[in-house]
Amino acid sequence: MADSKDKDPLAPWRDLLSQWEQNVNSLANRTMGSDEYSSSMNSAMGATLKMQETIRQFMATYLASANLPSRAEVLGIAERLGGVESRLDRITALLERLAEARPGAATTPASPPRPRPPRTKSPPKTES
Amino acid sequence: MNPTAERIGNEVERAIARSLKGLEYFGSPAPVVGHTPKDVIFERGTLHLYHYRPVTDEIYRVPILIVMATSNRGYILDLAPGQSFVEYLIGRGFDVYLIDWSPPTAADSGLRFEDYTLRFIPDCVQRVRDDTGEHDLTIIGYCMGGVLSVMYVALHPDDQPKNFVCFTTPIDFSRMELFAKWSDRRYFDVDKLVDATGNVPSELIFTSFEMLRPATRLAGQITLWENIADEKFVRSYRAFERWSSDTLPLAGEYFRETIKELIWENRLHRNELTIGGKRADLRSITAPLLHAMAEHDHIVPYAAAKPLLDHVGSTDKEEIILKGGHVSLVAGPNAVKRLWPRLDAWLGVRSV
Repeated sequence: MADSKDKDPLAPWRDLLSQWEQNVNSLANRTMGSDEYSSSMNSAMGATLKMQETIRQFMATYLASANLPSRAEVLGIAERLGGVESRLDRITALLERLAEARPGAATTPASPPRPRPPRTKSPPKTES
Repeated sequence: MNPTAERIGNEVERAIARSLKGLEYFGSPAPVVGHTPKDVIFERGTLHLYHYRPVTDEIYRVPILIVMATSNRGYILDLAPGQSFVEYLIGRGFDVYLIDWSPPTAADSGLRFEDYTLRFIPDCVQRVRDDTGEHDLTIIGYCMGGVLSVMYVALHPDDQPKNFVCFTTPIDFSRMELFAKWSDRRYFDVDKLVDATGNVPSELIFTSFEMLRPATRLAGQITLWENIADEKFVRSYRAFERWSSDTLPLAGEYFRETIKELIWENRLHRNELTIGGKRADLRSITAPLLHAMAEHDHIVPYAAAKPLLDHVGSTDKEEIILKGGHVSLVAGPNAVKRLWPRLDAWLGVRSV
């Protein structure tokens, strides 16, 4: 092991990289753990949120005047489509179950039947 | 050839191989993850319940229900052949179900702890019981999936799981020091954030995780470049990279409760958390409990996770502290050697 490390000309570089990573993480954690950092980070986030809100209001007004749907309206449609898809999935599953239940019916299930092995397994004795 | 010339020759060869592989890396598609065959047996909005197809001739009587963390995708537990926790479990004869989460939509922004612990998890428990015909089951929760599982088990003292396993599950949120500092109530206006965004964007969650170890990404990329000719290393790196960037947004009300109830008031640790009018008393947890924690976990430090064992009412309880970090505890080469065999041994005898 030591031999292979001696032959690897990049080993000192790797050690240096690992050391650098630890030092930077440690220094950053100390800096980010201060009250000053927390205060300034949250002030910056507050300013970003305020800007986003202003842009959102402006866009909503613009889209309404251009007779276009807003993001909230598109999301509402997406949500209703999701509901329709879920209902279709449930209907499909129900139809498949009904078709399978019909005696003598030739069915082609969407996926192969799930394996149901017996629940009889015991832990291997050597490992207990 | 003299040794110096030979060494230089080898280095030149390696540099050429790296360059060629580097070109391949940038041109190749994203790695395939979540390969283990499974069926979706239940879906409701952000929730997906999977059943992994058994591969052994017989399986243990007691099925497993895994509750994934709400901030990340469940495929970390099924990353690649040979690096998949669920593949390992089904190979050892367990019957595995997994609750995975997709990004909450605007309609999900009102989801609260009670939706997860009094609706989602109980519904999935019932589905597993219906599907297997077994009342008993093992619950395994990872990170915030563990927190939600702890709440669920504490809220159901008369319907305990047969076994309960937590991976890196925080209980004392005051010991998650950087998160606690960043969300200091003197500076952090969680109401303003949630009211403005609805759901908390995934970018914010991703950045919070990244900021815990700011140099690690760059160091990882340098290491990738050094090892780019090693296909196994590159495949594993890319799968992890894909997963860590694939952070989920969080439902707004759920995030608000996490900040106020767990981080600000530390109610879970103080045993004062009330959900849907019911107290989540940790002493009500009486199921056999195994809590696995990582020695170098930078997201959930040992001090934050440790109190779980002291708080619960279980008599059969055990904690294990393994080498590794928050993710390498459950996935990757370390997990294959350390956590999985320990869990198999603990769970096997309790699953008959």
